[in-house]
Amino acid sequence: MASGIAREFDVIVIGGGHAGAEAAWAAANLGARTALISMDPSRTGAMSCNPAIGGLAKGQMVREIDALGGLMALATDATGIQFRMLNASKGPAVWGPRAQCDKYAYAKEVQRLLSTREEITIIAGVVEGLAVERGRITGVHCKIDHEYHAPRESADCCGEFGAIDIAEKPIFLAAKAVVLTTGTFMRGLMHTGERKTEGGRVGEGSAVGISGALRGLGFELGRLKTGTPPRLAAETIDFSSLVLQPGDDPPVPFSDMTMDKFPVLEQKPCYLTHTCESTHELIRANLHRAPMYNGQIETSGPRYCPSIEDKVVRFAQRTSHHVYLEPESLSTNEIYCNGISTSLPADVQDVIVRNMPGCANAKILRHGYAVEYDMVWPHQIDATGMTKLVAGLFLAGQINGTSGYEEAAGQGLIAGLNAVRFLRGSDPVRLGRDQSYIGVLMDDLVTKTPREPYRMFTSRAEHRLLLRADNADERLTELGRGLGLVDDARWAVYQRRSAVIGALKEYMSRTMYEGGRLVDWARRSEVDAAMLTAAIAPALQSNGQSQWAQRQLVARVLADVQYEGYVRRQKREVAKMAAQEQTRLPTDYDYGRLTGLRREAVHVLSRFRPATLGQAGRLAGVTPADIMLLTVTIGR
Amino acid sequence: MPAATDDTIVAVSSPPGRSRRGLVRLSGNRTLSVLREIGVCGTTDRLLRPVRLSADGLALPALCVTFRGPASYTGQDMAELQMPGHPALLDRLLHAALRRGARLAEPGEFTFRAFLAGKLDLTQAEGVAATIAAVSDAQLAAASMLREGMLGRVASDMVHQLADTLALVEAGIDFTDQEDVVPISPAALDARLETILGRLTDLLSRSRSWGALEALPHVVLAGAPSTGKSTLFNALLGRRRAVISDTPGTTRDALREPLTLDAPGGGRCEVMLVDVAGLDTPAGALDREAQAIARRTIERADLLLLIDDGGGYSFSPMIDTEKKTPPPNAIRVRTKSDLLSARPAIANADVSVIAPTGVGLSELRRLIAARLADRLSASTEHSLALQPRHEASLRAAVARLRETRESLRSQLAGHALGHAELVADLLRSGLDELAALGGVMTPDDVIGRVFATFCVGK
Repeated sequence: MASGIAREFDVIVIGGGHAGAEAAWAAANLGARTALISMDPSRTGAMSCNPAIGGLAKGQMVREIDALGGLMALATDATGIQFRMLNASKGPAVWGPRAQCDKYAYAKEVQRLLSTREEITIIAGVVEGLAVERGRITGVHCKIDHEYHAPRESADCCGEFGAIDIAEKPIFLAAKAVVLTTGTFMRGLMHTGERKTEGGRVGEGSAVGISGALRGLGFELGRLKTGTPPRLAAETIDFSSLVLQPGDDPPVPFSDMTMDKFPVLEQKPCYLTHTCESTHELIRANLHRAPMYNGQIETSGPRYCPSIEDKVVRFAQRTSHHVYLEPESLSTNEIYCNGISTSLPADVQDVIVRNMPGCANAKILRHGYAVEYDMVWPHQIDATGMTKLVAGLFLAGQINGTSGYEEAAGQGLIAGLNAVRFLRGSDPVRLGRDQSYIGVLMDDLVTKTPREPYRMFTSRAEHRLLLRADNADERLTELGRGLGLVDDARWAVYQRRSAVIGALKEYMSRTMYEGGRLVDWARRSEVDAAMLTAAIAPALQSNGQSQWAQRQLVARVLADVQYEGYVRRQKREVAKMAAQEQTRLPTDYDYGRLTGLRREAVHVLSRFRPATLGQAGRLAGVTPADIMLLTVTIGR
Repeated sequence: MPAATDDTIVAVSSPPGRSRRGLVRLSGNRTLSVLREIGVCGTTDRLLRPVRLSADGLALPALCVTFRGPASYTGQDMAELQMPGHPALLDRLLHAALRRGARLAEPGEFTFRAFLAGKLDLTQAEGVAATIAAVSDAQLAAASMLREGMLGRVASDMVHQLADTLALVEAGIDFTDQEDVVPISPAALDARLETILGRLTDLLSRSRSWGALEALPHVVLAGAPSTGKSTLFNALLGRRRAVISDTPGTTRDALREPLTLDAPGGGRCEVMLVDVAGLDTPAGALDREAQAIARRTIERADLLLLIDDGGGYSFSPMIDTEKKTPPPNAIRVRTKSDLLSARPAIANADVSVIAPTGVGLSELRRLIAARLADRLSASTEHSLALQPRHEASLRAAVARLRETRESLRSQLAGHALGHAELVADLLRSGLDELAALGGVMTPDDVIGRVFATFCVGK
């Protein structure tokens, strides 16, 4: 079967999750012959946990991925069944667009988008080993099932993929760059109560060989844990008694390329129910059966996404916790129980669910579980995604200790981009902390030691006021165009929109309003979008933008004007540090050789091996004096 | 955060203590405008001219010379201000420049900038590296000392309170979609800030500036490396201050701490105890400027403690080695007299001490006070001594918090906090300012406080 497959690629992407899909998409858009290898290609783009995209800080990242020509926002707009702007009552810097998607439609859309790129070859198989020669990646050893052409036509495209024949001998696939996105599959182990199952996701296997291969290459691996709640059958829930939570009307799309026909799918509400005191007592009585509490799981899970048993233990005084019931698809009856992620045994989960109002007769379609998986401590990559040990090997997504679709997708895009730049001998691209949340993410990964799966928060960004969802294109699209990620259509949209914004601002500075310039009036903190819309109505007419684009434009202009002073100050701070961000450091330098460097600094620098002076300066334990020392001795 | 390389830095570049001539240097793109704002007018380009500075209501006569970049030592606009070497005056000038946007130079930063501008050759650059290393070690030692002291404890407490407060604001931004998160009200936030501000301003008002301390008589420890200078330094202060190690050259900067003594005529008095140990050895290692400062510190000491551990009074290379007799303003101190019983006691020692056990210390204290009797002033030991760097941080933090309260004023009656992202921005910069005194609080630490306070996570 494998005989028909090309044996040589420019880039091989391993894993078809959100990191892998975005990496393959970026590489293909840059014209690289790309292989996307996954155990089950019918599950490419699958939403393993909550079928939601975006949220606070995460929504900004989706907008950034879109501004760089990525696919996540496109797929979300095409398959969203509820759109909401979180924090809409707060300042625009912290607005967080969020969408619930039809998870099957989403995966299918990702697969469809990938299939539009003829540079991409989809391969069903398991990678057993990495081929490295003289410190450079040369390809992968892969047990192949067959070449995969198109998603299977079935109602449930993400169903179990049949009969993967991995008995065949591994074959060698050559590539100059490899992007590894293992998700939860690297030695994945799932826990539901006492029951343990090997695998990264229910019904799927686990990748064992790759862990050993990475260790053999000298990588330091760690283990993390995450979890997911039970799914319920919609027809067994009595929604009439529950609080309804609708989406925004009209909804706002993620992508700059979504012009009309939006929303595409029927919009669905979510519902709110809650746990009760007797449930909490039951959980307390069964803690000895909870893998997180009886020692069965020793790795740490995320504090921002605690299991229900965690909540009950840590916040013992609370008698109830909210649970959001969220539809997972228009085509199936699955309901996601947001708020009761758990690895308690199935019989306890049954009671937890039935004790929730509206769920007395609810049927659990799939029980919640926790999953432990191997990851690579991220100080071993650079902010480009490339490992410092093996040139041409890139890591993206949960393998770097992150959590979340958006975090994974952002890393995938960076890794796919830099993989192609690597094989073409171009300079690597690192996004600045002042430029994007993706930049903050990559920089945090390479300068800090994660204690839990890393999730983005707006408070992680010191330049939060610069990194808004509304101005993502202004921050990144021109850069993306220069890199080859932004196609002509997007570029045209961007230029048109920039021109309209320029015209609006010009109008505001030359028009008098309430006894002064309109732009000065708009700086007042009490001016909101509605007031500004009214004030600039003449300029808004006939600029050819759609209704929601119009609203976004007004919000954008208002934010630009109201944050102006703060933004100027932050930009000054950024400019001060620009030289350090540009100064490269050799990642194989022997810091012990440097006389005068304090022992602590030697230790930290030797472990993290920063790629730039800027990264070095953000390491805990490195002082400004150390930075001056580095500059004097090796920085130039 | 690492230092930028074109903002304007300022430092007192003359040795600590009283001297005939004090020198303050500035470098960076705002040098000339800072000068203008403190009253320097007319041209001083490469011309040493008398000027009258107006430093906060006080008119100071000084000499000023400016060098326009790139033809200056650092390649940037630079200025040197010379004035009588009175520590309090220099301190005032320093603060005047700080208030106008200059920041305190990091150790070796002027030479570092000269290096960046390509004005130094490699050998000179190595000297710069050694100086940076030496001075930063001393600063770190001072910082860890600070954290153990009362100032450090208060500052650390304030950092924690401020971080808790920021966490409440951040919770209302990053976790608003969470059931449990109750955003802090403007009034509650204001009340918290009022408390923190009260403590910080109290700290400022109870502390005296380093300048005042610089005016105290300087007692400088001098001797060969590893003769126990740092041990004696700490023993005299009655606490840990300098980094002590058996490796020669561990203490590489002039460490200075006020030392309280019993005055000969009764009551208490103060001197400034200075340890230049380490700066005196590998003489070639440091850049010339650092060596010169060390040498002058010893030369201008009001009183020298010449340390000998039995090997004889090998004067520091920083002291003119041609002179075979100790200077007249010296007390000869025999250290480690317990360890070296084999060696004969040296007859001409003024006092023998065993620092770790305290033997001989009170005699040494008495000798110091007696020698300086005519120069002693009464002690004000209850107030804290603030280094210029720390005072600047403290004042900046206070300014940020006042600005925050100001921004809350119009919404105190409101229920929900408006412009939370701007409030958080101000609080964050206040927290960063306090980091030098009370410890670094990372965004992750703040997020951790949110998790500890609220049940976050759907």
